[in-house]
Amino acid sequence: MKPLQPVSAAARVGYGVAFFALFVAVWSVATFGGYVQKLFLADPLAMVGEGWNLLVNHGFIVDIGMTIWRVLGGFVLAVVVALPLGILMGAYKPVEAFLEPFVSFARYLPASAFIPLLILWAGIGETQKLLVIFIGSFFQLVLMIAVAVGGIRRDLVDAAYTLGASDPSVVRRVLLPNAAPEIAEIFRLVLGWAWTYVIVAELIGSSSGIGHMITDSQALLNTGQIIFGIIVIGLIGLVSDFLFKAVNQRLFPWAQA
Amino acid sequence: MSKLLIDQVGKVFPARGKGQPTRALMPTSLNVADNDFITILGPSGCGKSTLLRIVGGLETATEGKILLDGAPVTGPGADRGFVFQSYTLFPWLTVVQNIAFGLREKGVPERERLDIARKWAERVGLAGFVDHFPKQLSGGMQQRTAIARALANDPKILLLDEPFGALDNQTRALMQEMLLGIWEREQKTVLFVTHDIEEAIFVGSRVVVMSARPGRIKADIPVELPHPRPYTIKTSPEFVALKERLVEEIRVEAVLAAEGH
Repeated sequence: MKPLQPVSAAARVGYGVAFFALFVAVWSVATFGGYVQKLFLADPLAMVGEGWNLLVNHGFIVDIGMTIWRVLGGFVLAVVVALPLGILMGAYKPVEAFLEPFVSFARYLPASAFIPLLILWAGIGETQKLLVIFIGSFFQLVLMIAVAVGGIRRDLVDAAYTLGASDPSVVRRVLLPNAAPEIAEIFRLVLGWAWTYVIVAELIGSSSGIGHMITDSQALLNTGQIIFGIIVIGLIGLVSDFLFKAVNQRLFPWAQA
Repeated sequence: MSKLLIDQVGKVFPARGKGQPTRALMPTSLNVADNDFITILGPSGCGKSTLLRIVGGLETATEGKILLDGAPVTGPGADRGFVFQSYTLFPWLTVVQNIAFGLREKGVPERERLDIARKWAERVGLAGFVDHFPKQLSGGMQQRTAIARALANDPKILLLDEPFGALDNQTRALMQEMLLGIWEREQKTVLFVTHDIEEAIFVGSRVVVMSARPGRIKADIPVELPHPRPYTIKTSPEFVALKERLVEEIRVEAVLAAEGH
């Protein structure tokens, strides 16, 4: 191996799949080999069986749907507010000076610690779940979008002004398109974080969703179901990541390396 | 009447921390006639770019005033096209969209502005690249697009800040010929900053030599070479004589600059 030497596309897929195989192999040896008790860790076959059972007999697909809707709902709400605010902060320094210190502070407030408060304020319904996602994503989004918008090369802005651009068009026609690919990348990243918040939100005071199923299974000591739930989350994350990347490449061909 | 009047324009950069304020440009005056091609020649750090950026409205003068067609310059605007040394094409726009950027700002209808932009792409030799993104172009092609973008706006004056400074020698020579050809055909008032003596003589009709920092004009030399100028003119006795004279002028300043005056 040489540093930074690229691998072919086929080899890349091969390596990636190989690690998944290795992971399952180690898991199988540990469980089938009797090194770990069934009580603590279900074996891969039991996990698949439990998953099948969940999907067919317990309407798990509805739980998955609920969780996806909560993540997307909370995330979209956060984007709707964070995008204009982040753009304003990135483009106009007084707005940044006004909001940045507070947002920097707020972003370290753990979303999960708000759950008890949110239950008090909003009950245990959907509003509370959406709010957890919102709090978890909003402050991150605002800050990262502001940095993306403000991080433009000064000479591109100068060039626009010498071409007769007005201040609003510098924002609309230069700052925004310049930051667009990075903002799309930020969405992909923060959506991934939103997934961790939703599960936490569902672990407490919930009657549906993947997180709720996991709490239920814990009471029954059904590690197969828990692992199946976790794997489903991972798979959804993988698919959404893949979709995001594909859409970004389509939308911003000029930004691809 | 002059097209552009630079009247006692100077620049002092404010002190940073405990340091002294730095004077980049002594009060400088320059009269630019309509359709003049003036090259401003000086060692690096002599304030020639600062002067050009002040004319472009990208920096404010500490003193003095600038009049373009009698009207004072207060900030950047479409009447002064600017070409930068760095590559400043908008990466998200194609060549033709880049060239049409200023026209769209003026509210020219899409059809018309794309027509104008295509014509300019053709004039700078990029007819086959109108739909390419900047990252697909070589450095020379990017600077040609930048020149077309500035000219498509039909500015009163074109300001170029070492536009070919980052290009290799062969490309640079071709770009000089292209720019000169455009100037000979279109007739524009041009202010061209460079530290390359040969370039200053070849494209300019007047070479203004600036001193080491703080910059001031130390010589203003007309270039009496005929137009159109083929590249072979660079070996003519007149050209060589002028070059020798300028090498001497610049050398003194470069030595001063190197000694840190």
